[in-house]
Amino acid sequence: MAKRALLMSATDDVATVTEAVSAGDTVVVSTKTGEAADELSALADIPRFHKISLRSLGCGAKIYKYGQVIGRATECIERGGYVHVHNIESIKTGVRA
Amino acid sequence: MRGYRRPDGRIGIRNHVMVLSTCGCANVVARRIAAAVPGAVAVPCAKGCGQVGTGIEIMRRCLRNLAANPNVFGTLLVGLGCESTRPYELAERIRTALDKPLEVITIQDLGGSERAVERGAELARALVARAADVERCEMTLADLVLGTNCGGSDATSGLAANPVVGVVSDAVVAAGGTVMLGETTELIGTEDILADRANSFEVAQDIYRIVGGLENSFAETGVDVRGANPSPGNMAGGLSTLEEKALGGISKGGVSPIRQVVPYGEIPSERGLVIMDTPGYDIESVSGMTAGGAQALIFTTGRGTPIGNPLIPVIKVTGNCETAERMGDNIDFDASGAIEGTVTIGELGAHLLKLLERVCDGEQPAAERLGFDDFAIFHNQEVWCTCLP
Repeated sequence: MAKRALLMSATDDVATVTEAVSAGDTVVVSTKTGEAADELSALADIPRFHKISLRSLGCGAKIYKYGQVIGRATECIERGGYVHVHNIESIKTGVRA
Repeated sequence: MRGYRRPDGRIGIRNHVMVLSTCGCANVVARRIAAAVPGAVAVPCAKGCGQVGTGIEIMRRCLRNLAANPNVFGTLLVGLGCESTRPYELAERIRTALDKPLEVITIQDLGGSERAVERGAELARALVARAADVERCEMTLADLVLGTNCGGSDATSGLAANPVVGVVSDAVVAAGGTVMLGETTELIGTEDILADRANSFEVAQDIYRIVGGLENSFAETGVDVRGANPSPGNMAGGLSTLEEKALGGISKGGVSPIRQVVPYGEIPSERGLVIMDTPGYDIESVSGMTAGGAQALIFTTGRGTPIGNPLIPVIKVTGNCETAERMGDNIDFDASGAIEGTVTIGELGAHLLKLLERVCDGEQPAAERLGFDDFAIFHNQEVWCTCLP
Protein backbone atom coordinates (compact mmCIF):
# COMPACT_ATOMS: atom_id res chain seq x y z
CA MET A 1 0.00 0.00 0.00
CA ALA A 2 1.40 3.40 -1.02
CA LYS A 3 2.49 5.81 1.72
CA ARG A 4 1.50 9.46 1.74
CA ALA A 5 3.51 12.68 1.71
CA LEU A 6 2.45 16.34 1.74
CA LEU A 7 3.88 18.99 -0.58
CA MET A 8 3.65 22.43 1.02
CA SER A 9 4.42 24.48 -2.11
CA ALA A 10 4.51 23.57 -5.82
CA THR A 11 8.23 24.24 -6.32
CA ASP A 12 9.46 22.45 -3.18
CA ASP A 13 12.32 19.95 -3.36
CA VAL A 14 11.03 17.96 -0.42
CA ALA A 15 7.72 16.57 0.82
CA THR A 16 6.79 15.51 4.38
CA VAL A 17 5.76 11.90 4.83
CA THR A 18 2.63 11.62 6.98
CA GLU A 19 3.31 8.04 7.98
CA ALA A 20 6.52 6.06 8.55
CA VAL A 21 8.07 4.92 5.26
CA SER A 22 10.36 1.93 4.66
CA ALA A 23 12.98 1.72 1.91
CA GLY A 24 11.31 0.51 -1.28
CA ASP A 25 7.85 1.84 -0.35
CA THR A 26 5.93 3.78 -2.98
CA VAL A 27 5.20 7.33 -1.76
CA VAL A 28 2.34 9.33 -3.24
CA VAL A 29 2.84 13.08 -2.90
CA SER A 30 -0.19 15.35 -2.79
CA THR A 31 -0.58 19.15 -2.64
CA LYS A 32 -2.36 21.23 0.01
CA THR A 33 -5.48 21.13 -2.14
CA GLY A 34 -5.34 17.34 -2.49
CA GLU A 35 -4.03 17.01 -6.06
CA ALA A 36 -1.51 14.28 -6.80
CA ALA A 37 1.86 15.94 -7.42
CA ASP A 38 4.30 13.06 -7.63
CA GLU A 39 4.82 9.37 -7.00
CA LEU A 40 8.21 7.89 -6.21
CA SER A 41 10.01 5.06 -4.53
CA ALA A 42 11.69 5.68 -1.14
CA LEU A 43 15.42 4.88 -1.06
CA ALA A 44 15.60 4.76 2.73
CA ASP A 45 13.48 4.39 5.85
CA ILE A 46 11.89 7.75 6.68
CA PRO A 47 10.19 8.38 10.06
CA ARG A 48 6.72 9.96 10.22
CA PHE A 49 6.77 13.76 9.61
CA HIS A 50 10.30 13.65 8.18
CA LYS A 51 11.18 14.60 4.62
CA ILE A 52 11.67 12.79 1.32
CA SER A 53 13.55 14.36 -1.58
CA LEU A 54 11.59 14.75 -4.81
CA ARG A 55 14.67 15.41 -6.96
CA SER A 56 18.36 14.67 -7.17
CA LEU A 57 20.17 17.50 -5.42
CA GLY A 58 23.86 18.30 -5.71
CA CYS A 59 26.06 18.98 -2.71
CA GLY A 60 25.57 22.63 -1.69
CA ALA A 61 22.19 22.93 -3.43
CA LYS A 62 19.57 25.05 -1.72
CA ILE A 63 16.64 23.02 -0.45
CA TYR A 64 13.13 24.44 -0.82
CA LYS A 65 10.13 23.77 1.43
CA TYR A 66 7.11 26.09 1.91
CA GLY A 67 8.37 27.68 -1.34
CA GLN A 68 11.38 29.00 0.59
CA VAL A 69 14.93 27.92 1.32
CA ILE A 70 15.16 25.82 4.48
CA GLY A 71 18.88 25.04 4.12
CA ARG A 72 21.47 23.50 1.81
CA ALA A 73 22.58 19.98 0.99
CA THR A 74 25.82 18.89 2.64
CA GLU A 75 26.08 15.88 0.30
CA CYS A 76 24.41 14.67 -2.88
CA ILE A 77 20.83 13.63 -2.26
CA GLU A 78 19.03 11.26 -4.62
CA ARG A 79 15.37 11.46 -5.59
CA GLY A 80 13.56 9.33 -3.00
CA GLY A 81 16.27 9.94 -0.40
CA TYR A 82 15.74 10.81 3.26
CA VAL A 83 16.43 14.50 3.93
CA HIS A 84 17.35 15.53 7.46
CA VAL A 85 20.20 16.85 9.63
CA HIS A 86 22.61 14.22 8.26
CA ASN A 87 22.54 15.72 4.77
CA ILE A 88 21.24 19.30 5.02
CA GLU A 89 22.26 22.28 7.14
CA SER A 90 20.87 25.66 8.02
CA ILE A 91 22.13 28.66 6.09
CA LYS A 92 20.93 30.98 8.84
CA THR A 93 22.35 29.37 11.95
CA GLY A 94 25.12 31.44 13.42
CA VAL A 95 24.71 34.16 10.81
CA ARG A 96 23.52 37.53 12.03
CA ALA A 97 21.08 39.49 9.88
CA MET B 1 -22.07 38.54 10.75
CA ARG B 2 -23.34 41.13 13.18
CA GLY B 3 -21.27 43.24 15.53
CA TYR B 4 -21.33 46.39 17.65
CA ARG B 5 -20.39 49.68 16.02
CA ARG B 6 -18.15 51.96 18.10
CA PRO B 7 -17.89 55.77 17.91
CA ASP B 8 -14.64 55.50 15.91
CA GLY B 9 -16.40 53.42 13.23
CA ARG B 10 -14.76 50.15 14.17
CA ILE B 11 -16.94 47.15 14.95
CA GLY B 12 -16.70 44.89 17.99
CA ILE B 13 -17.75 41.25 17.97
CA ARG B 14 -18.39 41.37 21.73
CA ASN B 15 -19.90 44.17 23.82
CA HIS B 16 -17.84 44.13 27.00
CA VAL B 17 -17.79 46.52 29.89
CA MET B 18 -14.16 46.31 30.96
CA VAL B 19 -13.07 46.77 34.58
CA LEU B 20 -9.41 47.51 33.97
CA SER B 21 -6.94 47.49 36.80
CA THR B 22 -4.09 49.98 36.36
CA CYS B 23 -1.81 48.26 38.85
CA GLY B 24 -1.41 44.83 40.42
CA CYS B 25 -2.48 46.36 43.77
CA ALA B 26 -5.97 47.03 42.33
CA ASN B 27 -6.49 43.60 40.75
CA VAL B 28 -8.57 42.09 43.54
CA VAL B 29 -10.83 45.14 43.74
CA ALA B 30 -11.29 45.10 39.94
CA ARG B 31 -12.09 41.39 40.06
CA ARG B 32 -14.63 41.85 42.86
CA ILE B 33 -16.33 44.69 40.99
CA ALA B 34 -16.67 42.58 37.85
CA ALA B 35 -17.89 39.59 39.88
CA ALA B 36 -20.65 41.76 41.36
CA VAL B 37 -21.84 43.06 37.99
CA PRO B 38 -23.10 40.59 35.37
CA GLY B 39 -21.84 41.74 31.99
CA ALA B 40 -18.62 43.29 33.32
CA VAL B 41 -15.24 41.65 32.77
CA ALA B 42 -12.15 42.21 34.90
CA VAL B 43 -8.81 42.70 33.19
CA PRO B 44 -5.94 42.42 35.67
CA CYS B 45 -2.65 44.28 35.48
CA ALA B 46 0.53 42.22 35.72
CA LYS B 47 2.45 45.23 37.00
CA GLY B 48 1.71 48.96 36.51
CA CYS B 49 4.05 50.19 39.22
CA GLY B 50 7.76 49.95 39.98
CA GLN B 51 8.40 50.26 36.27
CA VAL B 52 10.66 52.65 34.35
CA GLY B 53 11.61 53.54 30.80
CA THR B 54 10.12 51.46 28.03
CA GLY B 55 8.49 49.21 30.64
CA ILE B 56 6.13 51.92 31.86
CA GLU B 57 5.70 53.26 28.32
CA ILE B 58 4.53 49.85 27.09
CA MET B 59 2.22 49.44 30.09
CA ARG B 60 0.56 52.86 29.58
CA ARG B 61 0.22 52.30 25.83
CA CYS B 62 -1.41 48.92 26.36
CA LEU B 63 -3.84 50.11 29.05
CA ARG B 64 -4.88 53.02 26.82
CA ASN B 65 -5.28 50.85 23.73
CA LEU B 66 -7.23 48.15 25.57
CA ALA B 67 -10.00 50.71 26.14
CA ALA B 68 -9.97 51.28 22.36
CA ASN B 69 -10.43 47.58 21.51
CA PRO B 70 -13.65 47.35 19.46
CA ASN B 71 -14.95 44.53 21.69
CA VAL B 72 -15.04 47.02 24.58
CA PHE B 73 -18.14 49.19 24.94
CA GLY B 74 -16.79 51.17 27.85
CA THR B 75 -14.18 51.01 30.59
CA LEU B 76 -13.98 51.46 34.33
CA LEU B 77 -10.37 52.12 35.32
CA VAL B 78 -9.59 50.91 38.82
CA GLY B 79 -6.37 52.21 40.32
CA LEU B 80 -4.73 52.11 43.70
CA GLY B 81 -3.83 55.80 43.42
CA CYS B 82 -0.05 56.11 43.71
CA GLU B 83 1.03 53.78 40.89
CA SER B 84 3.29 54.78 38.01
CA THR B 85 0.55 54.25 35.42
CA ARG B 86 -1.24 57.31 36.97
CA PRO B 87 -4.90 56.34 36.53
CA TYR B 88 -6.35 59.91 36.22
CA GLU B 89 -3.77 60.93 33.64
CA LEU B 90 -4.43 57.67 31.79
CA ALA B 91 -8.16 58.40 31.87
CA GLU B 92 -7.56 61.84 30.37
CA ARG B 93 -5.42 60.35 27.64
CA ILE B 94 -8.09 57.79 26.80
CA ARG B 95 -10.81 60.47 26.77
CA THR B 96 -8.75 62.61 24.41
CA ALA B 97 -8.16 59.72 22.02
CA LEU B 98 -11.54 58.03 22.23
CA ASP B 99 -15.19 58.93 22.32
CA LYS B 100 -16.11 55.93 24.46
CA PRO B 101 -17.67 55.70 27.93
CA LEU B 102 -14.96 55.83 30.58
CA GLU B 103 -14.99 56.01 34.38
CA VAL B 104 -12.08 56.05 36.79
CA ILE B 105 -11.76 55.39 40.51
CA THR B 106 -8.87 54.82 42.87
CA ILE B 107 -8.92 52.80 46.06
CA GLN B 108 -6.98 55.48 47.97
CA ASP B 109 -9.32 58.31 46.94
CA LEU B 110 -12.42 56.35 47.83
CA GLY B 111 -11.09 55.41 51.26
CA GLY B 112 -10.31 51.72 50.95
CA SER B 113 -11.18 48.56 49.11
CA GLU B 114 -14.80 48.13 50.30
CA ARG B 115 -15.90 51.60 49.27
CA ALA B 116 -14.01 51.14 45.98
CA VAL B 117 -15.84 47.89 45.26
CA GLU B 118 -19.18 49.50 46.12
CA ARG B 119 -18.62 52.64 44.02
CA GLY B 120 -16.96 50.66 41.21
CA ALA B 121 -19.91 48.28 41.01
CA GLU B 122 -22.34 51.25 40.76
CA LEU B 123 -20.36 52.72 37.88
CA ALA B 124 -19.93 49.34 36.14
CA ARG B 125 -23.66 48.62 36.48
CA ALA B 126 -24.47 51.93 34.80
CA LEU B 127 -22.04 51.12 31.97
CA VAL B 128 -23.60 47.68 31.48
CA ALA B 129 -27.05 49.27 31.25
CA ARG B 130 -25.80 51.65 28.55
CA ALA B 131 -24.02 48.83 26.68
CA ALA B 132 -27.35 47.01 26.34
CA ASP B 133 -28.62 49.87 24.16
CA VAL B 134 -26.01 49.30 21.44
CA GLU B 135 -27.76 47.85 18.42
CA ARG B 136 -26.00 45.20 16.43
CA CYS B 137 -24.98 46.09 12.91
CA GLU B 138 -23.87 44.11 9.86
CA MET B 139 -20.16 43.51 9.59
CA THR B 140 -17.82 41.73 7.17
CA LEU B 141 -14.33 40.28 7.35
CA ALA B 142 -13.08 43.71 6.26
CA ASP B 143 -14.01 44.96 9.76
CA LEU B 144 -11.93 42.26 11.42
CA VAL B 145 -8.50 42.40 12.99
CA LEU B 146 -7.53 38.78 13.51
CA GLY B 147 -4.69 37.86 15.86
CA THR B 148 -2.70 34.64 15.43
CA ASN B 149 -0.51 32.75 17.86
CA CYS B 150 0.98 29.30 18.34
CA GLY B 151 1.80 27.55 21.58
CA GLY B 152 2.78 24.05 22.58
CA SER B 153 3.82 23.39 18.97
CA ASP B 154 4.73 19.95 17.69
CA ALA B 155 5.50 18.34 14.33
CA THR B 156 1.88 18.71 13.20
CA SER B 157 1.84 22.50 13.75
CA GLY B 158 3.86 23.48 10.70
CA LEU B 159 2.34 20.69 8.64
CA ALA B 160 -1.39 21.09 9.24
CA ALA B 161 -2.57 23.61 11.86
CA ASN B 162 -0.51 26.63 10.77
CA PRO B 163 -1.04 26.19 7.00
CA VAL B 164 -4.81 25.82 7.62
CA VAL B 165 -4.80 29.08 9.59
CA GLY B 166 -2.77 30.56 6.72
CA VAL B 167 -5.71 29.88 4.40
CA VAL B 168 -7.98 31.82 6.79
CA SER B 169 -5.44 34.65 7.09
CA ASP B 170 -5.27 35.00 3.32
CA ALA B 171 -9.08 35.09 3.12
CA VAL B 172 -9.34 37.79 5.80
CA VAL B 173 -6.68 39.91 4.08
CA ALA B 174 -8.29 39.38 0.65
CA ALA B 175 -11.59 40.60 2.12
CA GLY B 176 -9.93 43.82 3.29
CA GLY B 177 -9.38 42.85 6.92
CA THR B 178 -6.23 42.69 9.01
CA VAL B 179 -4.20 39.75 10.32
CA MET B 180 -1.53 40.01 13.01
CA LEU B 181 1.51 37.78 13.06
CA GLY B 182 3.58 38.00 16.26
CA GLU B 183 6.01 36.08 18.46
CA THR B 184 9.24 37.67 17.30
CA THR B 185 11.23 34.82 18.87
CA GLU B 186 9.65 32.54 16.27
CA LEU B 187 10.57 34.88 13.41
CA ILE B 188 14.32 34.47 13.90
CA GLY B 189 15.56 32.75 10.75
CA THR B 190 12.76 34.04 8.55
CA GLU B 191 13.74 37.71 8.53
CA ASP B 192 15.04 37.63 4.94
CA ILE B 193 11.91 35.88 3.74
CA LEU B 194 9.63 38.27 5.63
CA ALA B 195 11.63 41.29 4.47
CA ASP B 196 11.19 40.07 0.87
CA ARG B 197 7.45 40.05 1.48
CA ALA B 198 7.44 43.57 2.97
CA ASN B 199 5.55 46.05 0.83
CA SER B 200 8.10 48.82 1.41
CA PHE B 201 11.74 49.33 2.29
CA GLU B 202 10.72 50.79 5.67
CA VAL B 203 8.70 47.71 6.60
CA ALA B 204 11.62 45.47 5.60
CA GLN B 205 13.93 47.56 7.81
CA ASP B 206 11.48 47.26 10.69
CA ILE B 207 11.46 43.48 10.32
CA TYR B 208 15.27 43.35 10.51
CA ARG B 209 15.19 45.80 13.43
CA ILE B 210 12.83 43.76 15.65
CA VAL B 211 14.47 40.42 14.86
CA GLY B 212 18.01 41.81 15.18
CA GLY B 213 17.11 43.67 18.37
CA LEU B 214 15.70 40.56 19.96
CA GLU B 215 18.72 38.51 18.98
CA ASN B 216 20.99 41.12 20.53
CA SER B 217 19.05 40.98 23.80
CA PHE B 218 19.35 37.21 23.78
CA ALA B 219 23.09 37.48 23.01
CA GLU B 220 23.51 39.81 26.02
CA THR B 221 22.19 37.07 28.27
CA GLY B 222 24.47 34.54 26.59
CA VAL B 223 21.73 32.70 24.69
CA ASP B 224 22.35 31.67 21.08
CA VAL B 225 18.85 31.32 19.66
CA ARG B 226 20.01 30.18 16.25
CA GLY B 227 22.28 27.55 17.75
CA ALA B 228 19.54 26.30 20.07
CA ASN B 229 17.04 25.76 17.25
CA PRO B 230 15.64 23.45 16.18
CA SER B 231 15.66 21.74 19.57
CA PRO B 232 16.42 18.00 19.84
CA GLY B 233 12.67 17.42 20.22
CA ASN B 234 12.00 19.43 17.07
CA MET B 235 14.60 17.39 15.19
CA ALA B 236 13.10 14.11 16.37
CA GLY B 237 9.81 15.47 15.02
CA GLY B 238 11.36 15.94 11.57
CA LEU B 239 12.51 19.58 11.60
CA SER B 240 16.02 19.83 10.17
CA THR B 241 16.85 23.54 10.33
CA LEU B 242 15.95 26.81 12.05
CA GLU B 243 14.52 28.09 8.76
CA GLU B 244 12.22 25.11 8.39
CA LYS B 245 10.89 25.49 11.94
CA ALA B 246 10.34 29.25 11.55
CA LEU B 247 8.67 28.86 8.13
CA GLY B 248 6.19 26.41 9.62
CA GLY B 249 5.37 29.02 12.25
CA ILE B 250 4.88 31.97 9.92
CA SER B 251 2.74 29.91 7.55
CA LYS B 252 -0.21 30.80 9.82
CA GLY B 253 -0.01 34.36 8.47
CA GLY B 254 -0.59 33.15 4.90
CA VAL B 255 1.25 34.56 1.92
CA SER B 256 0.11 38.20 1.80
CA PRO B 257 2.56 41.09 1.60
CA ILE B 258 3.53 42.51 4.99
CA ARG B 259 2.16 46.02 5.33
CA GLN B 260 3.41 47.19 8.70
CA VAL B 261 5.41 46.30 11.80
CA VAL B 262 3.95 47.64 15.03
CA PRO B 263 5.43 47.72 18.53
CA TYR B 264 3.91 45.57 21.26
CA GLY B 265 0.33 46.62 22.03
CA GLU B 266 0.17 49.30 19.32
CA ILE B 267 -2.83 49.64 16.99
CA PRO B 268 -1.87 49.08 13.33
CA SER B 269 -2.73 51.96 11.02
CA GLU B 270 -2.53 49.67 7.99
CA ARG B 271 -4.82 46.86 6.90
CA GLY B 272 -3.66 43.52 5.55
CA LEU B 273 -0.97 41.35 7.10
CA VAL B 274 0.93 43.13 9.88
CA ILE B 275 3.59 41.98 12.33
CA MET B 276 3.37 42.88 16.00
CA ASP B 277 6.58 42.64 18.00
CA THR B 278 5.42 40.27 20.73
CA PRO B 279 7.23 37.85 23.05
CA GLY B 280 7.03 34.09 22.69
CA TYR B 281 5.09 33.75 25.95
CA ASP B 282 1.56 33.02 24.74
CA ILE B 283 -0.45 34.98 27.29
CA GLU B 284 1.63 38.13 26.80
CA SER B 285 1.51 37.75 23.03
CA VAL B 286 -2.29 37.34 22.93
CA SER B 287 -2.73 40.22 25.40
CA GLY B 288 -0.55 42.51 23.24
CA MET B 289 -2.66 41.75 20.18
CA THR B 290 -5.79 42.48 22.21
CA ALA B 291 -4.35 45.90 23.07
CA GLY B 292 -3.54 46.28 19.36
CA GLY B 293 -7.22 45.97 18.51
CA ALA B 294 -7.68 42.31 17.56
CA GLN B 295 -11.32 41.31 18.04
CA ALA B 296 -10.60 37.57 17.70
CA LEU B 297 -7.57 35.30 17.64
CA ILE B 298 -6.78 31.91 16.17
CA PHE B 299 -4.35 29.90 18.26
CA THR B 300 -2.62 26.80 16.93
CA THR B 301 -1.36 24.16 19.32
CA GLY B 302 0.18 20.74 18.91
CA ARG B 303 0.17 19.61 22.52
CA GLY B 304 -2.91 21.58 23.58
CA THR B 305 -3.48 24.53 25.91
CA PRO B 306 -6.61 25.96 27.55
CA ILE B 307 -5.64 29.66 27.52
CA GLY B 308 -8.02 32.41 26.49
CA ASN B 309 -8.50 36.14 26.96
CA PRO B 310 -11.05 38.25 28.84
CA LEU B 311 -11.88 40.51 25.88
CA ILE B 312 -11.49 38.48 22.70
CA PRO B 313 -12.52 34.95 21.74
CA VAL B 314 -9.53 32.65 21.20
CA ILE B 315 -10.11 29.77 18.77
CA LYS B 316 -7.93 26.67 19.28
CA VAL B 317 -6.75 24.68 16.29
CA THR B 318 -4.66 21.52 16.43
CA GLY B 319 -3.17 19.32 13.73
CA ASN B 320 -2.62 16.53 16.24
CA CYS B 321 -5.50 14.04 16.30
CA GLU B 322 -4.50 12.69 19.73
CA THR B 323 -4.58 16.20 21.23
CA ALA B 324 -7.93 16.87 19.55
CA GLU B 325 -9.27 13.83 21.36
CA ARG B 326 -7.40 13.95 24.68
CA MET B 327 -7.87 17.71 25.16
CA GLY B 328 -11.19 17.94 23.38
CA ASP B 329 -12.55 20.31 26.05
CA ASN B 330 -10.05 22.93 24.98
CA ILE B 331 -9.85 22.40 21.21
CA ASP B 332 -12.27 24.01 18.77
CA PHE B 333 -10.96 22.76 15.46
CA ASP B 334 -9.24 19.53 14.46
CA ALA B 335 -7.02 20.00 11.41
CA SER B 336 -5.44 16.54 11.62
CA GLY B 337 -7.43 15.36 8.61
CA ALA B 338 -4.84 17.13 6.46
CA ILE B 339 -2.25 14.70 7.81
CA GLU B 340 -4.48 11.63 7.68
CA GLY B 341 -5.31 12.52 4.08
CA THR B 342 -9.07 12.57 4.67
CA VAL B 343 -9.42 16.27 3.89
CA THR B 344 -7.17 18.92 2.33
CA ILE B 345 -5.60 22.01 3.90
CA GLY B 346 -7.68 24.14 1.53
CA GLU B 347 -10.94 22.49 2.63
CA LEU B 348 -10.01 22.74 6.31
CA GLY B 349 -9.20 26.42 5.81
CA ALA B 350 -12.69 26.99 4.40
CA HIS B 351 -14.26 25.21 7.41
CA LEU B 352 -12.14 27.18 9.86
CA LEU B 353 -13.14 30.44 8.18
CA LYS B 354 -16.79 29.47 8.71
CA LEU B 355 -16.06 28.80 12.39
CA LEU B 356 -14.34 32.20 12.67
CA GLU B 357 -17.40 33.86 11.15
CA ARG B 358 -19.70 32.08 13.61
CA VAL B 359 -17.47 33.16 16.49
CA CYS B 360 -17.59 36.74 15.25
CA ASP B 361 -21.36 36.37 15.21
CA GLY B 362 -21.43 35.31 18.86
CA GLU B 363 -20.62 31.60 19.05
CA GLN B 364 -18.28 30.96 21.98
CA PRO B 365 -15.11 28.95 21.40
CA ALA B 366 -13.98 26.66 24.22
CA ALA B 367 -11.72 29.15 26.03
CA GLU B 368 -14.47 31.77 26.15
CA ARG B 369 -17.19 29.29 27.13
CA LEU B 370 -15.03 27.84 29.91
CA GLY B 371 -14.10 31.26 31.26
CA PHE B 372 -10.39 31.35 30.44
CA ASP B 373 -9.56 35.02 30.95
CA ASP B 374 -5.77 34.80 30.95
CA PHE B 375 -4.14 38.19 30.67
CA ALA B 376 -0.67 39.69 31.08
CA ILE B 377 0.96 42.75 29.56
CA PHE B 378 4.61 42.16 28.77
CA HIS B 379 6.78 43.93 31.36
CA ASN B 380 10.47 43.84 30.68
CA GLN B 381 12.21 46.20 33.04
CA GLU B 382 12.44 45.18 36.65
CA VAL B 383 13.60 48.13 38.70
CA TRP B 384 14.36 46.63 42.08
CA CYS B 385 15.52 43.22 41.06
CA THR B 386 19.20 42.34 41.24
CA CYS B 387 18.35 38.88 39.96
CA LEU B 388 20.75 37.20 42.38
CA PRO B 389 20.13 33.53 42.93
